[in-house]
Amino acid sequence: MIWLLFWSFFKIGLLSFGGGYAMLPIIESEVARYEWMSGNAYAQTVALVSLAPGPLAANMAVSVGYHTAGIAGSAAAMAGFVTPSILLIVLIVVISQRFANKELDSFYYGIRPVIVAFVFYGAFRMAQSTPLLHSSPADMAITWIIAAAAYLSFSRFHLHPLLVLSGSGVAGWLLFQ
Amino acid sequence: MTPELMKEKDSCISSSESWLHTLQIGWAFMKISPIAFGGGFSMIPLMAREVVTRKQWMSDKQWEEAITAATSVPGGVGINAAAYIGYRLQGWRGLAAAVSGMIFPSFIIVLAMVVFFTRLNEHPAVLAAMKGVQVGVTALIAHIGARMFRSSVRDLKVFALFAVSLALLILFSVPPAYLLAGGIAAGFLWYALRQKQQQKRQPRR
Repeated sequence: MIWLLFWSFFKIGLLSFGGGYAMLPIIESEVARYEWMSGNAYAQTVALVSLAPGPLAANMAVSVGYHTAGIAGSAAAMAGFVTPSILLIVLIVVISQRFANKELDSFYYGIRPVIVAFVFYGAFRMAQSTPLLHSSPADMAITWIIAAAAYLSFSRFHLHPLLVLSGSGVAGWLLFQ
Repeated sequence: MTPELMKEKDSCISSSESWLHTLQIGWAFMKISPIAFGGGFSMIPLMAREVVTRKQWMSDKQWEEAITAATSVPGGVGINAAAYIGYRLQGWRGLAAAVSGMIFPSFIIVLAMVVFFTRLNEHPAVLAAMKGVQVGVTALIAHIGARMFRSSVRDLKVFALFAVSLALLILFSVPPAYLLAGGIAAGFLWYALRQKQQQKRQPRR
């Protein structure tokens, strides 16, 4: 199990382009494949980890690893995740002068829209774990209002994520019981 | 974005071999990690402030190279940047210090949160609050997605690839790895097609 975690997060590390939230679909597909966590537990984990500082993907590795196999699991997952990063970065530094810029551009041209799709898919999956998408009209209305307020806080008012997420938590505490 | 990687011949910037420097590298990243909220990219300005402005370990140009490498390589941006900076400053030792510094505080904090939370998550108030946070995170991810969309999706081909990928994910649950492969293939295909068009316009003598 420990080795599986290491190897699984190694693969995740190899496939994770585009930064923290863009990796969520990839992590989720591995989690689903090995059935380490239910969809609901996974969504809760994402939310919890979003409250934490530091690199999101690494934190996800720690929490999924812990959930699956305790502290040893979290260490294995973390180690698996950072290893490809380390190896590839060193590779880049050492052979960088041989890169053809144009080929790299075309690589990114194709991959970038897919990464953006991943991020939106992540939002969709997260939304599914909330009353946003299938619930009583009253619940949905409340939830969409909270979501809209949070979204505006980010995009219009540029509030700090911790502030907005804590506010959402308080709203949830008040309204979802 | 055309990456201009490494003009210098040496991979190491710093000439300092001291273990003090190694500790300083580790400490710099340990300071940054616990205050970087909201995803990996929020770490970038914090790192720049520490590495370029305050400690002056890197020039602006070297910093740009660092960010290019960090965002080009798969894996977490924060970790990649730490690995790059550490390696360029002091080779493998610097890399180990930087990455450890970045990971260690998060490891402790996240473990504490997860352990604490699993004790509490039967409590209805906690569950309700968590649901609220999940709503907030949905908005956060949507916001990040919208920002990326505005800056990355600028022509019809790219939009089509985005739309198709999203549809395949939502409607058919296609594994993400296949979509990445498809995107890479599409990118190279378009590149090859463009090359062909250019050749047609400029016939060889």
